[in-house]
Amino acid sequence: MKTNVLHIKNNSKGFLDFVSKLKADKEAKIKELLSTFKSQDEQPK
Amino acid sequence: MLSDTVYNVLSKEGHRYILSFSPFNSVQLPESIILPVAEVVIATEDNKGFNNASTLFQFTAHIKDYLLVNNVILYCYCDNREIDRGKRHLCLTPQEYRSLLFEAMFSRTNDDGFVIKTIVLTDLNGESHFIKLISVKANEEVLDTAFDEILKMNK
Repeated sequence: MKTNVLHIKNNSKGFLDFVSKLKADKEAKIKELLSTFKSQDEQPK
Repeated sequence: MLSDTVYNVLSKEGHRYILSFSPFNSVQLPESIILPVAEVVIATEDNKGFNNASTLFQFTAHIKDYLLVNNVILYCYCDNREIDRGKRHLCLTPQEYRSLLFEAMFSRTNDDGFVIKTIVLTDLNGESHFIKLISVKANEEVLDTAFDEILKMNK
């Protein structure tokens, strides 16, 4: 398996908005998936 | 057209995980990226993390199957939720540790049919964001293009 690493350090507004969006979307997705556990637990067995 | 795909994974210790694949739509992709991009997310109810090799292999098997069935680039943002990482890796941030784990998932299976690329984005606050891009080896050029597109932000 081939791997590569790219490092970017940048403080422009566009860049910061970009990483903030990625982070926020990931957090929202995890929250959504975690709610699945809750609904599975609430289903009658 | 990609659709959402979800797998429930149970570790030997009884920890429950959800492995989710869904279309990536956080940002509009440049036209130069000619393949669809799907986001892979692994969620665990208790943040115990990947606690053994067999759990890792379950994830890897699902991810590889997904890549073999769907001609896509997989994207993963390594999040900063706390994760059990042992004494040896306590010096790493949760994001960095997840990035290493993700790579370990693939390297341990010694499969040359896949390419995984890591992008580390460091912001004004010094926080590093780890992103993984994965695909089958035949799509390596498209992954390189995605690399180049992100590199354009570094101006």
